Amino acid sequence: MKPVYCIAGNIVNELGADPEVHWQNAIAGKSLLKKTEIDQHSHCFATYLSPDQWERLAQKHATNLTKSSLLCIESIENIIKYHPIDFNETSIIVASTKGDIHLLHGLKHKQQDDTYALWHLAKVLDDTFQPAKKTVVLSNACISGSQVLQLGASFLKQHDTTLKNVVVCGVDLVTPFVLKGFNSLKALSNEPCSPFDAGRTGISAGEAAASMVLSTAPLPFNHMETIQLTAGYVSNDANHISGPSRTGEGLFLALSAISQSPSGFPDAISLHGTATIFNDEMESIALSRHDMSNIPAFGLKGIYGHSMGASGTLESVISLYAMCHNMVPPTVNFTTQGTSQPVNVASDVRHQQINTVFKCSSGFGGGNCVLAFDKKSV
Amino acid sequence: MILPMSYKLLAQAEISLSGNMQEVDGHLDFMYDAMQIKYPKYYKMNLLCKLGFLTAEKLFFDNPLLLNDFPEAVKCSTILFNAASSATADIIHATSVDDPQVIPGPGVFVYTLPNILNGELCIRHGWTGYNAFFVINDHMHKNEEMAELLQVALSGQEINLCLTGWVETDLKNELFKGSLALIAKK
Repeated sequence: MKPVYCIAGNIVNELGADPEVHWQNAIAGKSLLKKTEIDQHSHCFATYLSPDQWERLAQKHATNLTKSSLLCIESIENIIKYHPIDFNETSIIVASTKGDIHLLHGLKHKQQDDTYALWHLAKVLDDTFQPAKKTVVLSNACISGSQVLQLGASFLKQHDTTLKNVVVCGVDLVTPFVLKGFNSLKALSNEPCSPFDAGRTGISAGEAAASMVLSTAPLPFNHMETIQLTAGYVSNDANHISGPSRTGEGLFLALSAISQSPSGFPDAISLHGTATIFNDEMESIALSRHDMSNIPAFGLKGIYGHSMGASGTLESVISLYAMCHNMVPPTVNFTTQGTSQPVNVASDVRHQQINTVFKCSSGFGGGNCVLAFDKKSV
Repeated sequence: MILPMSYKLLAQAEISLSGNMQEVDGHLDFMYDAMQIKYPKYYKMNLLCKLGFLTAEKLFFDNPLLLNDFPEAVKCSTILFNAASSATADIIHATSVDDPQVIPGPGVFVYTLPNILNGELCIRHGWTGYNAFFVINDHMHKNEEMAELLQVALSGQEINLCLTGWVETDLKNELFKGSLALIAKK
């Protein structure tokens, strides 16, 4: 099998598009969450772009583009500025749960155009970058952003392929559709979310795009260290459509499969950590069943909120920075252990050698995805 | 369907309906009753899930002993496609979100993700394998595009058994189609 390398990555949100700025912010442990009205009676916390920032993106790219398109184009253009890639030998895969759903007008849907559709976003990216293959959208709830990296690697490993790169782009917006929906499930915290903490009460929302370039060329990630995407595994809990398995069965199965891959045991784990009671508890159980409770772990949603389809890609980008700098980022808003099994997260940065990271994601529909990234000395 | 390399077809089933959402919903419920399935979760599902669920039920109804030869059936994977994503739930939720007098309900919102169908199928059959939902536009070469994506998705991890196909709720043209195939590694 051909090895697949992660050669570039970035994140676009209210903090901008410079991945170095995002990394510095992550290790400084600065939350981007701000108080947000859901309706007249309730609020939550979220990260999202300001109207000025949207205006600037529209002026820079094109005023007729949707918000999801703008974020994806800004993310991909910022990558190729520093890592020129030939789109004749590159394809794009998008991960998104709801894309531009704010453009859907309920019962008037029959009279309106298709700009809200997920496939429309793929079409815009095809028109903009003209990649070697038709862009496709994976919509597999909150594991999409991780799973799409496994899929991108599979594209490059096809023996008959002429593809040299796959650009993976995760994107989701903060919209009333999503906020009112999560509010109806009582899943939103009215304080900034606190993953794995004893006082956690639910999620904060996040708006972002994040991109990663996978390649058959062994180039260093963002000109730092050479990192391989060694393995990926997707499983299903077969338990409940909107709640994780109490025993962590699906995540346990995915961790079992990845532990048998050449990666072996991780030096650090990037957890899903949504800060709901059930998700974080489930992750603690799955790790404990694998004797992984002591491995340094971190969750990033206290900084970014939950950017759903983007979160797996976004958190993978930060995970690769953690490997390049040999630093485990802090889990922001975590103070007191709040899961039945211990999880080795900390509120401070930890310096240690990191050669292998596991990235875990879980989502509605019962899906789980684990990825293994390995540092390679070339 | 175009079979992926090194896989064989075990069985396939199709349900094709036209009409508005209420009509099609009624028709699907009628089919559910006719198949004499006892599965109360069915009534909570949105149209996309009812359609995909019943297409799969039809597949196994016509071939009841199909999975008996597969000790690894529990790892069966689901790889699904459509263009409309979860449109039938999306328009209902979007309508209540736009109306300040209405408080959106959780029972609709959880179905505003297309891969909830994968979840429903996994729960019904106890499958813990790979699952993916791809949204692609409905175009002339759709079948070739699906075949290529399926081939790639199947190569990401060990997949011996997979339920795959197109499950679409096309609200503009009022066409509803579930077309599923069970395939196994040769």
